[in-house]
Amino acid sequence: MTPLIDMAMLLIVFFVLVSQIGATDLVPMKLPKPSPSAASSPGREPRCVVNALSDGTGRVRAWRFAGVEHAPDAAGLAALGDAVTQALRAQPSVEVHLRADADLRYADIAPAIEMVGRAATRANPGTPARLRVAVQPEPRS
Amino acid sequence: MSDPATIAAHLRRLRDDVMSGTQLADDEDAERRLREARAKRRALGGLQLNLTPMIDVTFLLLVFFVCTTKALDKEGLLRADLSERGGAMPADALSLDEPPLRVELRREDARTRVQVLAPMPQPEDPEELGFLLASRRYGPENPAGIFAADHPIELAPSADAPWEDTVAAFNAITRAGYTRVSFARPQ
Repeated sequence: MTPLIDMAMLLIVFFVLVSQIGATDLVPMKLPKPSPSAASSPGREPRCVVNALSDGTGRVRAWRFAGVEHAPDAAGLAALGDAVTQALRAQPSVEVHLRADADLRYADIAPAIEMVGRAATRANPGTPARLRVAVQPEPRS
Repeated sequence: MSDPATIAAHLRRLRDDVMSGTQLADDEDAERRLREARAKRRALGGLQLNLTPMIDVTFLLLVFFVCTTKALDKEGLLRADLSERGGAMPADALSLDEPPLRVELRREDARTRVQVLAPMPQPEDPEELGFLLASRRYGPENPAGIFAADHPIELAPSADAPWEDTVAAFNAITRAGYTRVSFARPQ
């Protein structure tokens, strides 16, 4: 009986962790590294992640949100806005984490920042968007 | 039988019986049974340790630590609460809008220059911007400061400013203690 219970626990923990990591959608990229940093560590607040995928030349290749990629044009940004609005409607206290490659141009990132603000207003009028800019943490001394 | 000499002789005989023959027979019997039990246990393979739960628990701990260190420990977050246009939320809806302090980032000669649109010394880099704004922040420890911590600050990078430098400037303003930082549209 003991090995059976152990295996059941193992599977439960595995799937819980995998589903959490899948939800956070952490795409590998080179995040900005400000120093000395004012960044705080991620807490236990619910979160959704907007990833700006770089094409390697400083331009956004695609926006990735909840496992779906959106083109970096007006239609793609509108679809991304709808998806973020739905996430904020489902859970008003959710934080929106913006993960963008350090080499990207501001002109490509700014529309997404504006979109997050608009999505928050559409989902929950009067509530600010809880945007969090992801950065690399400083090495621990 | 009531003769004390007879009773003593009887007791002596009993004691001798116990100490010699009968007791020895019992000891031999117990030892034989012990040997048989040991032989039986050896034949079954000896004492076995069940390793399955130990391996399961080891995997459980391994998966747990690998996942948690990867997911949580490798990123930091800078806070920004945005209004509809992507700007900072006003501290009080009834308060009059203060003109924001504008911090511009311009790309020149393959480096990003910082300019504060206010009559004050201009910083060379984001770190200096942080020191400059911290020295101008009003508070009990700095009554000569000009700007309150909730004074709106508008960060206005040029279109070609790298995200790295934008975040460095945003980080410096946040470190200086200002809470209402907004992002302007690219110039």
